[in-house]
Amino acid sequence: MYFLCRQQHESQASTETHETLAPLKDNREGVFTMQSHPTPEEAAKALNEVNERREQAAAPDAHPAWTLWALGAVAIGYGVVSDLRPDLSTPLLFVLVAAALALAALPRWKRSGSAMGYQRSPSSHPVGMSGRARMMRTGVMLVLMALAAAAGLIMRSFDVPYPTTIGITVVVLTIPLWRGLLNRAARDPKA
Amino acid sequence: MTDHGDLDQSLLNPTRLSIVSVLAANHWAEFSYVREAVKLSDSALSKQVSALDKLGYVQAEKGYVGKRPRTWLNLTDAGRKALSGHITALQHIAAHAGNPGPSNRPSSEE
Repeated sequence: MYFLCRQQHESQASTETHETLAPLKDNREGVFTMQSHPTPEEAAKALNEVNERREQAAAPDAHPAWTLWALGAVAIGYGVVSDLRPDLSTPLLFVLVAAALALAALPRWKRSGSAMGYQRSPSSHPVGMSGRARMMRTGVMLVLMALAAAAGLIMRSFDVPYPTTIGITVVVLTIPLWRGLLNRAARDPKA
Repeated sequence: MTDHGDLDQSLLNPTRLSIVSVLAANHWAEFSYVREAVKLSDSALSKQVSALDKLGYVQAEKGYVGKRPRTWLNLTDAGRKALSGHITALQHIAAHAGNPGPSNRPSSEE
């Protein structure tokens, strides 16, 4: 029924309609007809579709994988420099922050974003994320940062060599874990 | 006076509504991304994009990144406005049956 509806509309819109349109979701049940005024059920289904599409498009996974690992490599490099040459850590930090801000801005434009491997512009405020979800996500990030800082203090107090390098390396290697935590915190079922 | 929104007849097409909804969340998206998201073939998506372009809801820009051709899509202000009004109208219709449907906030990515 859904395929027929879409194919009928496609044939009305064009002379070439031979594609079989795949369902948008496998578990979809029924469709709303191409009436000028949808029924309440059809309207609710359409709203569900809109919500799903917008959440899908605004999911925080717009960043290509290489950007995270590049960020990790730079962070580890910074850790090494901080431990070996503490006098360079502050100026290096300024340079890295400036570079990170520039790289964060570039994907906003189509050509530079595509050149960096983005298929869509990343969203800093994902649609559909409630205020509560954003607060939870921010809270998770703050907790992670606090844990990293506490670990650094503990290592320094025990004279562990290269504490910054070790701390940053641990954070980088656990990127998949805390990225999952952040994404889960962003998906508030009550949103 | 409560604004019940304007039902957009062209957005009653579920495919177009899906395309516009995907684009609403981003400043721009590549053609290939939208194609994967709404699971259409190249030609089917091209037809829908052309129709939405004629309506003034979607802008399609072609270019190159290096030697690779790219097509970028973005929702125009008119498209966002139409989608917003359409969603409001759908919410009103769904609410009339005591079924408010999911809460659809306006896109913050304007």
